[in-house]
Amino acid sequence: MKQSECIQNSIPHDIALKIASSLQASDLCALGSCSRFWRELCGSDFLWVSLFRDRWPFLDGFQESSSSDTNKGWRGFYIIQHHKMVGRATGVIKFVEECSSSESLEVGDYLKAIKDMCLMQLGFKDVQMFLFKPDLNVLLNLVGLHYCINWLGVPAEYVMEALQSCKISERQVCVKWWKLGRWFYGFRLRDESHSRWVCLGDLAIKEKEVLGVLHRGAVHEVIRVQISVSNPTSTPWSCQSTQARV
Amino acid sequence: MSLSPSTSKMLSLKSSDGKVLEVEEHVAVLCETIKSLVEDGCADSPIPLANVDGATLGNVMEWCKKHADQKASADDLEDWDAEFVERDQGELYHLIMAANYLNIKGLLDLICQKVADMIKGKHPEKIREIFNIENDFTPEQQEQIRKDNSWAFE
Repeated sequence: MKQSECIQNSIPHDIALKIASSLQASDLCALGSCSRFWRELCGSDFLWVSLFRDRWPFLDGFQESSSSDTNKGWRGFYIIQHHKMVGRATGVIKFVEECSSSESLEVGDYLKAIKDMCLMQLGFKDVQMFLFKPDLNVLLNLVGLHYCINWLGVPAEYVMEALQSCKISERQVCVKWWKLGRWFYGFRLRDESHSRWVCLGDLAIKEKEVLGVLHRGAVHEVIRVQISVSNPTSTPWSCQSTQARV
Repeated sequence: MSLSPSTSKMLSLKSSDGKVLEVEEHVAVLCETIKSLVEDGCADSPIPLANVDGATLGNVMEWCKKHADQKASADDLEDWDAEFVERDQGELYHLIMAANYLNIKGLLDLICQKVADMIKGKHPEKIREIFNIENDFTPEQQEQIRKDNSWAFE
């Protein structure tokens, strides 16, 4: 067997496409940088249209990119959309970092970040790429996780898989919430405070209550919900509830 | 068709380098190409397979035999397949070409996936090295490609 005939030009076009079609965008770019044959093959619309639809199932590529150069094909649309998503995710990251300067975040800001992501139509893959990075603040990982489960409806086991492959499933957050004391024979009981330490993996799979509290936010009897990276020096709950932002 | 091996008819397959392989019919018909010959009644004399050499034909039939075995569990097959594809790229290439020619979808899917897995996460230089791909770009084109792809490697 001559080495030069291998997996090169002699391979039928449809088989080369079949191989390329199980690659992700970055691997496709790497393969396309190998030779002219692979460059042409890896630039084909057939491959990029499915990568586009896979990453942004709710977007219409032609509509999204109608204002741009239509000669670029689906690879071009994909790159344009990728850059848009980079910009949007950077906005969310900046917002959360500004709101959590002391390593803790109030639930109102937290939910606003998630709502923004919703409006920006970030997909599950975008979240994995931009928000599930281990070097980001864990609060951003959490924002991404919450968005995927409660807004995108991604099944918990897929989210868990993503957390593990991004090596962030063991990262911990502390969620605290305060409830107004109930009335009891004309007297108001003391306010209740709850705090829960959870790792992101458990939050995705087991701790539905905590995610529920975060999702609901500070409404009705819940006066305040705070999410923090590390346990802040705890002040008595009675003082904290007076500073609560409702 | 589920004939037990003892009653299964034998078929002769002749490779491109003249080697003749005796294979049970219920194994050989995993190749769609051979199956249609059998159905058309053209499978009596040794079946000439002009595009498959003897060594590759042996490997293909080994795969077919395992996958024709009704006792093999799905987990068992998966493990067996994972070991089966541990080969150098030359052998993988010949297996791909044979699976394509003989029209064995399961085997073709398996090898294509293996090749894709070998590409994943690698730099272009490494991919060229593994598959002996000749870099036929000019330095200018090379630079342009690097720029065009920079977004993907940020």
